[in-house]
Parts: sequence; C-alpha cells; structure tokens
Amino acid sequence: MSIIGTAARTETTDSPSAQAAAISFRAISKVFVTPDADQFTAIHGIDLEVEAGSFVCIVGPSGCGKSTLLNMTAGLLQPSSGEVLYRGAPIKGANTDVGYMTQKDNLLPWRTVRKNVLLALEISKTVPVRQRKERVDAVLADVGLGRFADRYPAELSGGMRKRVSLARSLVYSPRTLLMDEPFGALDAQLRLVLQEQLLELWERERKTMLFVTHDIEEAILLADRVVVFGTNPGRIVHVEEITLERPRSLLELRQLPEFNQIWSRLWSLIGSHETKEEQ
Amino acid sequence: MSAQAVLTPTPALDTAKAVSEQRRRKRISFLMVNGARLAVGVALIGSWQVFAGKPGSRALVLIDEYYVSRPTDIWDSLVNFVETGVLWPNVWVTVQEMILGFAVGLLLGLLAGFVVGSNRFVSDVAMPYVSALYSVPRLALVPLFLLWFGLGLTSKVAFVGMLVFFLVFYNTYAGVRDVDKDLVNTLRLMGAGRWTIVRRVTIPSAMTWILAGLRVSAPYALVGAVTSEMISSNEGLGYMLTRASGQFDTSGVFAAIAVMMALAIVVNGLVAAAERYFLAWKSRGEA
Ligand SMILES: Nc1ncnc2c1ncn2[C@@H]1O[C@H](COP(=O)(O)OP(=O)(O)O)[C@@H](O)[C@H]1O
Ligand SMILES: [Mg+2]
Repeated sequence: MSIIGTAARTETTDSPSAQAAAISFRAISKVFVTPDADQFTAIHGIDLEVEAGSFVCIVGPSGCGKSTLLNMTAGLLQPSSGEVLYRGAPIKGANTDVGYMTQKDNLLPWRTVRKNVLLALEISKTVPVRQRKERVDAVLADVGLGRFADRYPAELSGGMRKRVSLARSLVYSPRTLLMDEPFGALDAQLRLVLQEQLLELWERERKTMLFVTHDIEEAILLADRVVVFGTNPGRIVHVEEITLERPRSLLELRQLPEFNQIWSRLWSLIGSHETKEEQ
Repeated sequence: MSAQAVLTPTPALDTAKAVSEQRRRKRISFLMVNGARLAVGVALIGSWQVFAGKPGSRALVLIDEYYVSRPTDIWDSLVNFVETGVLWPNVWVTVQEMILGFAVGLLLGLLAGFVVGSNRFVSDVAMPYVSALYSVPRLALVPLFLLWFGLGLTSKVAFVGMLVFFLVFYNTYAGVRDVDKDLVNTLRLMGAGRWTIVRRVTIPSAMTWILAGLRVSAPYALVGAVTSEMISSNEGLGYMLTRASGQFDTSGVFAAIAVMMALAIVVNGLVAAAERYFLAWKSRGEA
C-alpha cells in the first residue's frame, strides 16, 4: 500500500500493483522556462500511485504544483523528467479517459448553461440522444442550477459557473475525475451540500478521484488518502491515509477526536512549510 | 420589530417602482436623443436651403448654389433621375457589383483566414507576403483589373472582392489565433475531434472578429464599386456621378451622393442585423 518511495518505482508496469494503479507518477519533475530563459522548477521528484477507484486529495499552499500535476494527468502537459502512467500506459496527448474540472470554469460563453453541459454528451456520445436533455436537466438540478439552465455563463456568478463546470464533468461519467479546487468559490452551505453529493456519487460509482483543494477539512472528509505538498520546489511532504469509516458526514466527523488529530497534524505540516517558504 | 416592519418598504413594491422608474428614464432619454438628432438634421438642411442660392438674387445668400446646390434642387434631380428611368438600373448595377464582390471577398477571406490562422507554419511563411500586398495602394490596382477583367462587371467585382478580402482575412486570422486554448483542451479531453473543435469552438469564438471584419468591410464594398465605376464605366452610381459632374450638374452630383448614402445606410443596417443574430449571447451576457 505504500505509495511513495522507491518500492513502487522499481516495479514494472505489468506487476499486479501497477495494474491496480489508475495513475502512477514516477519521479516526476517539471521545469518551466520563463520568457527571459530563466528556469523554474515547479515540482520535483514526485512519486505517487493513485489506485483505481480510490479518492485521493492533494492539499498544499498555492504555487506548489497541484494544477501542474493534474495537467500532466490530463495529458495537456509533459513532465520534464519522469513519466506519468495512466492505467499502466504512458499518456500520449489528451487523456480522453478523464473528466477534468479545471480551476478556471472554461465554459463556452456563446452557449447557455444547458447547452454547455449537453455538449459533453454530444461529444462523448455516452448517453443516447433521446435521453440527453433529461440527463442534463437532472445533473443541473443536482448542482442546484435547474432554474438557470437557459442563462448564458456571463449571466451567472462565479460560484454558479463553477457548478456548471462541475455538472459538465459529471454528466458524461468519465472513468476518472480530476478536480482542481472545485468548491473553492462556493459559500459554506452550498459547499457542504455538494461535498456530500460528490461523496454519494463516488460511493456509488467508485470512480478514481484526484481532487485538489486548499481546505484540509474537505480533504479529510472526502479522501482515502491525503497527499500534502510543499513548495520550492513543489514536492510531497506527507501522505496521510484516512481510515475514517464511510459513509462520512462532515457534521459528524467534526465531533470525532480522530478527525481533529488528523486535521492538526496536516495543518501543522502545511503551516510549517508555508512559513519556511517565506524566509 | 413591528415598527421596523412598518418603516421598511416591502421589497416587491420597491422593485416594481424601481423598474418602472428605470423604464421612464429610458423612454425620456430615447425621446431626447432622437429629438435632438432630428433638430440637428433639420437645422443643417434648413440652413443649407436658406444660405445657398444665386448670389445677389435675394437676401441671406452666402454660398453660390453652383458649388453646393440646394436641398430642393437635389430633390428635383432625384425625382428627375427616377422619372427618366436612370436611377434604378444604375443602382442595380452598383448593388450587383457590391453583392458579388462582397461574396467573393468574404468567402476567400474566411477560407484563407482560417487556413493561415490555424497553421503556424503556413502563417509564418505567408504573412510577410500578405502584408506586402496589403500595403499596395488599392487604387493603383484598378488599371490592372481593367486590363485583366475588361471594362464590365467582372473588373468591378474583382476590385470590391479584393478590398473586402483583406479586411475579412485579417479579422478571421486574428479571430482564429485568439481562440482560448483552454476551451479547445476542454473539448479535446471530452474526446472531440478536429472538426468538432472547429465547429464548436473556433468558429463561434472567431465570430466576434469576423463580424467586426464585416462591419468594416461592408462599406468598402460600396466604396470599391463606386470608385471603379468612376474610373471606367458606362453604368452604375459612380458613372451617374461622373456624368453629372461632367455636365456641371451640381444637383445631380449631390443626388447621386445621396443615393450612395442611402445605400450605405441599408448596408450598415444589414450588418447590424447579422451582428445581432450571431452575437445574441453577447448582449445577453452584458445585461
Ligand atoms: N506555464 C507556466 N510557465 C511558467 N511557470 C508556470 C507555468 N505554469 C505554472 N507555473 C508555475 O509553477 C508553479 C506551480 O503552479 P501550479 O501548478 O498552478 O500551482 P498550484 O496549482 O499548486 O497553485 C507556480 O509557481 C507557477 O507560477
Ligand atoms: Mg492551481
């Protein structure tokens, strides 16, 4: 079950544990070259295995390379060294097996909310034509946007656009979901509702989830495993297995001493690294 | 608690009042703007009528009508053009040149803009040549076009087409390059092929630019048609204008210009309608 360290790295692609891994990051580094030819190491030496059907959360200060890692998983960015395997094979080009909810909402401004979500079905063809509209409206209702289906993105608040983007990545049921701070822009109330819905969905379908968040509480609530990143360069500083019983409810979790222990531990890890960065 | 409830107006009433107030303001500003426009127009035409005339024939004549004509004389010329059957055939000739030239320029401009804009290598190779061609003074090409395509319709269509082509090309090119890469990637991850991305992202996204290109180039269709008619033709609005000028018929010249202005207004109206249709989502978003 060890996910970092050399053990995982030395295994060959077709060993049983590698096959169970949906995503494997092997000694990943990413160096960006800035326009004035300076080099900037965004992440360095990342080893991480994300098992199929597991829920992995990445937490860490901003700028530690969380989005960079997701971009690599989606095949939109190549590592400078190391390799990313998806279901045992190196990723070549766009990884159409993943649904990617990016930090930016990336909605098509000339399509209404409904048509933005519908587009995912038109392209992926995962739902028969006749059931598409019904399915879209159901997902929109789930994220609380049923009444806004005929609006254009520019007529929505930032949080609402995020929810459209969420609906769009859920509607076509991709095997793996990459989510980059999906609930960051939402108010606490709505965030709680959507977190619980996401958990429910995940418990039903057991998709592989790679979920980036700033919020330690959210990470503990959702994840099987929380990976803590540090900055300068971006790297893994800690991996916390979350064995709290499922199904979970945030309101109940908050009462548990275990939850608070984990929370304090992760908080101090992130806190100490953030202060180190500032020196 | 209850005192507060009395003092605070109910939100529903408040909104209704605000909405009707807003409507009232809008109506007033609409009336003011249009009233002022009408007044300016009447004042301009009126003073033209009053201050232009035969020198010494009456008071208030400041400008010789030989140079500027008078609104009533222009109207008479216009009526005369219609009655003698001169106007409509000539308007039709010009309109034909505009439509055909515009269609040719638009199609070629769109096609070339898409191809060059979506291919880095092609763009790097082609753009210096396009810029060089673009910097040639357009009028200098009219004699060449006459040589190649004769004195009739074809040379005018070619000239209009060339004017429109460059404007549409540059805008389409910029529009295609301006497409948000993140939107393209979003669709790629859903499994979209090349054509789906062009249809769903590139074209709608470039539409804003393309329509801006149309708005700029549509008046040029008129300019191009009339200019080439003036240089060499025996029909069309440009020909009507040069003929009137050759006969020292100032009213006739102004009448021809008035017809051109009317044509320009129609063209601009059509472009505005196209913009409203294709960019409906934009005005919605700003609301
Ligand atoms: N295209 C790029 N060019 C240069 N630097 C980049 C680029 N993308 C990201 N970075 C840098 O890499 C680091 C990690 O970025 P990112 O993955 O977005 O961080 P996070 O998502 O954890 O906030 C940041 O310091 C960022 O400035
Ligand atoms: Mg990020």
